[in-house]
Amino acid sequence: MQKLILPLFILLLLAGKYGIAQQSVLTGTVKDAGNQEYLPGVNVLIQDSEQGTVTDKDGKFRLTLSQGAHTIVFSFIGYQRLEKTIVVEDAEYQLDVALGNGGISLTEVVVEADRRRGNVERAGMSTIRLDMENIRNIPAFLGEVDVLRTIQLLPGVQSAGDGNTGFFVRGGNADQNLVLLDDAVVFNASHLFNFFSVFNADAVKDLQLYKGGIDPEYGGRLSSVLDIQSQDGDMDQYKMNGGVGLISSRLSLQGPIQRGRSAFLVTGRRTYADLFLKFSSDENQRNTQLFFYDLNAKLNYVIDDNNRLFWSGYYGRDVTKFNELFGFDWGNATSSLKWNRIFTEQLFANFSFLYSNYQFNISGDIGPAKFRWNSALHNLKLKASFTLLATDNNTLSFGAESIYHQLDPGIIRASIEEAAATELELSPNNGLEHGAFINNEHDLFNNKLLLEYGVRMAAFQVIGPGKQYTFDSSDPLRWKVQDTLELEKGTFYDTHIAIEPRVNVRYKINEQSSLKASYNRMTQFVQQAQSAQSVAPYDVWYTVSNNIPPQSADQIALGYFRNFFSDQLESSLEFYYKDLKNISDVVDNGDILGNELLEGQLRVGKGWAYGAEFLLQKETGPISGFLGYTWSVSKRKINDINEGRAYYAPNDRRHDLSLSGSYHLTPKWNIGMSFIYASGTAYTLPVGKMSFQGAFAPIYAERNASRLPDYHRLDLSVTYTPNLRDRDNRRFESSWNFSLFNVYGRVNPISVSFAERDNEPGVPNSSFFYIPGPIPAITWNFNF
Amino acid sequence: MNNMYKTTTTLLVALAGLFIINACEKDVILDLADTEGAYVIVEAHITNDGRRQWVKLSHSSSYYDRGFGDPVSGAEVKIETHDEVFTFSESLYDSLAGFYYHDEISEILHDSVLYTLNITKKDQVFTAESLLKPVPQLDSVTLKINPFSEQGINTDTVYDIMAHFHDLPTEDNFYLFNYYVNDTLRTERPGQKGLVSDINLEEYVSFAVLSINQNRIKDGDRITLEISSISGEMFEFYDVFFFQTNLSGNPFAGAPPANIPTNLSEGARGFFQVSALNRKHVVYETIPF
Repeated sequence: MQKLILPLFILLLLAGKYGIAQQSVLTGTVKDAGNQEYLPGVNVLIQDSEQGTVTDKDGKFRLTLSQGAHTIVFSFIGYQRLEKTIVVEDAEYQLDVALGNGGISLTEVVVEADRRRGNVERAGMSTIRLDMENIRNIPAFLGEVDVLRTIQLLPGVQSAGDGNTGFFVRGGNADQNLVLLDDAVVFNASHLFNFFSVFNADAVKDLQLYKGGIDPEYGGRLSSVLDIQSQDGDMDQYKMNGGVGLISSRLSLQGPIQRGRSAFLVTGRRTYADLFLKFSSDENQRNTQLFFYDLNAKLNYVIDDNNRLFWSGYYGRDVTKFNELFGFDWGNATSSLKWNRIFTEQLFANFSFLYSNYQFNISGDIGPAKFRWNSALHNLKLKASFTLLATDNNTLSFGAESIYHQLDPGIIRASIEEAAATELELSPNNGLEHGAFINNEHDLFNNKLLLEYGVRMAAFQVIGPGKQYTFDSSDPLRWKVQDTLELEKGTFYDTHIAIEPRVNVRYKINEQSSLKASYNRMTQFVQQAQSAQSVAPYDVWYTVSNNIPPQSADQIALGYFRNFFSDQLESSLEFYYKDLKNISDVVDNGDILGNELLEGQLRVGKGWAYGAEFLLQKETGPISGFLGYTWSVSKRKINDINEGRAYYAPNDRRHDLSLSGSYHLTPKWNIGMSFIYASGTAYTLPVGKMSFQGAFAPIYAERNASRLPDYHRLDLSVTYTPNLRDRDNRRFESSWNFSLFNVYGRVNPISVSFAERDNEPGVPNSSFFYIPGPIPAITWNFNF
Repeated sequence: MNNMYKTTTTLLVALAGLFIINACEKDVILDLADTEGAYVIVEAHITNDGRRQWVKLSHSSSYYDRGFGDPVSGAEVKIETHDEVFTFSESLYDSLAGFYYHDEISEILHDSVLYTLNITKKDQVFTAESLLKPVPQLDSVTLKINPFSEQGINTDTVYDIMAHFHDLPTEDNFYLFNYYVNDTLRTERPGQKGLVSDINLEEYVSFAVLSINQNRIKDGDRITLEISSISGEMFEFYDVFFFQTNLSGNPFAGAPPANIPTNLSEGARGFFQVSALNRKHVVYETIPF
């Protein structure tokens, strides 16, 4: 199969180059007329034709059209619709436009009939771009607008639990999502034990989630790519916005450094529950620290018409400290330096230098025992990507990247007064990951058929220092070390190579509907061992090794896409099947917390997932929102787990329904709601109990063979904007947001405990851990 | 000793997580599948303490049943070496049904001998093996005020029971600690016992292995500390027992639900262990702060 891929690719490319079509190519960019930020996701349509596209994340677009006069229509929610009539005489035509904010404030009724043709036009499927303005209208937990919580509402995406920003995509694990902030990897995207994500909504410009049909540009994770781009900063005027909420406050400042040429953006956020603890009469509470903060910064510099430079950075920390007994802090840092270069009208490029860091520190002074654990991982990436408008109907994207992974699980120091002191250095995992990719967008039969086909060549090299263990696996549940190989610093060891074909096909039935199909193979060389029942800040990342082969996933998907009412209502129905190889899971009672022999606690096998997803979406007009439904199955089959029999993945859930939306009652009042219903998640429940030495313990049968109760929840919010900036001609605008999470107080279990009843030894009990509701919140937001 | 990493981190992180998210806990009754009586539970810790030894056999019960499992009566229980067979006899008292006794085995256990437990019940045969490992001699036992009490964090006065002994020169030794107050065992339940692995222990060990609340003792009480040699598998059994029954379901640090490991065959649960042990005592007198 792999031998056929390259010749097939070349053949398809040549077919485009020497095709018979004689048309012109229209390329260009779309930006905000005010702050000069490039706008992703703008609809670009050729009026009175079936042709159209949407701008990419850099605001670029490309269309093929016949020579002669055409009217090009640009539309984007919140902006004035723009029509440009052009006369195309040459083979290529460049059109750069700027869209003005049409005074359509979110607090006003949005009447602009934006045409959302991208749903039907794009070749890519299983991809959802979320509009930040719409995200803000969805009720937010404790008033904190959170992009990850909104993503959890989408079909094909499941929450890791109530009050948890972790997510699973199409039956994959939580570590199989590639989360990018300005192209830099974010390894742990959560604050406060997953309660909030690290993405401050004030800093986010655009986000796109790929569940399948993933572009060859992306690699390294099996299940999804969440690509988040931060705001560029306003090049025209200074702006400040922020908010004061129940648990945190936010402040954001942006403006020109040199008007029209360079801009900056700085945003910050901090929780302050701990500040009130200072007033406690209890000394222990006074000495308690409990907060998180994050900072985003971006610089944006237009060197000239062909060169643009961006730098963005993120730094966030969670700090937890209980008296002098226990301290736990963790956080991410990222840095992205990007250079956009237009070489010719046909060739443009992005060069990136990216750095990511994640670390956690745990310390404890428990009586005579003292404990310290410091862990860090670093990720350094160089990437170059090019877009070449190769022929009339072929757009070629290609590039390469190299990533240096330095995963240092850390050193654990423990001591017991007057008895023992020890230091356990967990073996580091280092490696170089490479990816070279090429993709062609091939327009056939006058845009009736659109093909995207490409391939990603991925490779991973294990680098010393480190250790390679050989295990004696004669006892399937207790592997013992047989041999240890010390890897020398700087020396290359195993090299793993993967070829990942990617194909998207779109057949346009008519102007309102299309059929799509996609296939992608993904490979993952860096994984995370999950120690508890939800994603935890101390879960350790590790690379492939002699015991852990690279994971891979082959996914096929078919879909029907249909727009209604002049494209104001989008719908899609997708079916997918995903085949997972070398997927790992923790053996029963596996000890993976700070275990230098972590690999001995993992077992490798296969998995599969399939399902159907329906999405109905409306983003314009006084009523906007979406309805999503998912039917899905996800299973695993791994030797030594569940006695080798197939079992449901922990995120397996048969039905998942979400309805989310907002209604602009008047220009000053907006009502938001979201309702979720999901059938119970797979769980391991006891089938009896054993009594032993006066105590008892549950007896379990099959892993994940039972179900937790169904999940459902209703959230509501009301936003009141007393002064409308545009209508009242004021510079300052503020709004009040009132939200109610879990309106009817449904008890949705995060997990179930089976233990003795408190203060009644020997009496069996079961209990749910859950987030209580309803939880009200109020937030005051402002901008000027 | 390695266990200390896991225990400390897991407990602290679990508490921190719950504190932060302020998650609530609600008692519920679930509709569980029931395999009442489907499993045989074996409780067999044979020691060289010179006393009458016993093996307890019971059936598994429904999870929400308040009582213990029904006894397994009429079984044949034997412990064998390559040249000896010790046959246990079931108690004749109805109240002790399921208890099988042997009066002499404790006197004639030998270090480094492999013992095999054979249980036959109708057409079912359950077996397990255990190697008797030596145990270090306790030099002395002392009491010390627990630092939590000393610092006022714990409002009760708690004493740490300090064990003092020379660790065995061999590697990978595992020890189980119990304590008695005036010859009454106070650490009956798995979660009350002290567990120590000698990985990274210094040659001379002198630290807290158990603790005792001042409310439970009075001046003049005789506190006896017992050290037993156990296998790594039994160490794991108690370790998992603790996590599965104390941190079950904790969303941040809980062990995903799984059966407690066993060394018994054919689906039986529980554990068989043969241990060497010795004891030292201290007479309690109130320790001033």
